[in-house]
Amino acid sequence: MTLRFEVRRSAYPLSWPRLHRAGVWARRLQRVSGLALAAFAVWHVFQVVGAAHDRTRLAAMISTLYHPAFIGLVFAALGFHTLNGLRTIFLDLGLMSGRRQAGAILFAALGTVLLAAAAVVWRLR
Amino acid sequence: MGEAAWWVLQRATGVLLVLPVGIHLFAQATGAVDLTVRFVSDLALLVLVVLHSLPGLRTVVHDYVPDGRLRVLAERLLLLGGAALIGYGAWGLWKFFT
Repeated sequence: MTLRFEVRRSAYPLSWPRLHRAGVWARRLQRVSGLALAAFAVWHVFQVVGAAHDRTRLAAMISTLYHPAFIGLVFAALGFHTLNGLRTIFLDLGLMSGRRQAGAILFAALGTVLLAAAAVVWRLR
Repeated sequence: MGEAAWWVLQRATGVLLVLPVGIHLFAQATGAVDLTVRFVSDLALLVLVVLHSLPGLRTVVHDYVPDGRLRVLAERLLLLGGAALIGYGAWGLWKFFT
């Protein structure tokens, strides 16, 4: 008796091992971006309080915040953390199938790139 | 506070954050937002950011610090730091807007 295995192409954008790996990376990036944003929030609060007391520090704060590279990084972290966070909520509530999830990870990644690029272009124009 | 409550806190604040973050960015980019609205929205942003960060940082602590005294200490430090940041930030915002 011969066994015949049929290898079929996946109908989904990401097949299971790749989807799993994408999910692992999404989780890692969610943590890294979250830690970066928490550090940014603490720094930003100290900057704003400093600027509230000494208005000359306001210009320095704004020039750092509005630097194209800085704003690009902040928007990349904020964009990914928001989009992937919303995906996670849908997933946790059972509102998203594995098939949808593949698209959602791609959507989050693409949205992040677009948001960061838009912020950089806005500063450079 | 139970695990479920931490979970709900992080998700609820995460969804709620979308509004003050949006107002904050729009106000900074255009300057077309009333000062009182900006103050209230930035205050909400500060509180929500801390309440959203706390469960996240707590998860990181749970992942890397084994169950015991050190973990309890780290958790208390997080709560203390969060409360201090809200107080300090709220005072700073008041000074900034007045």
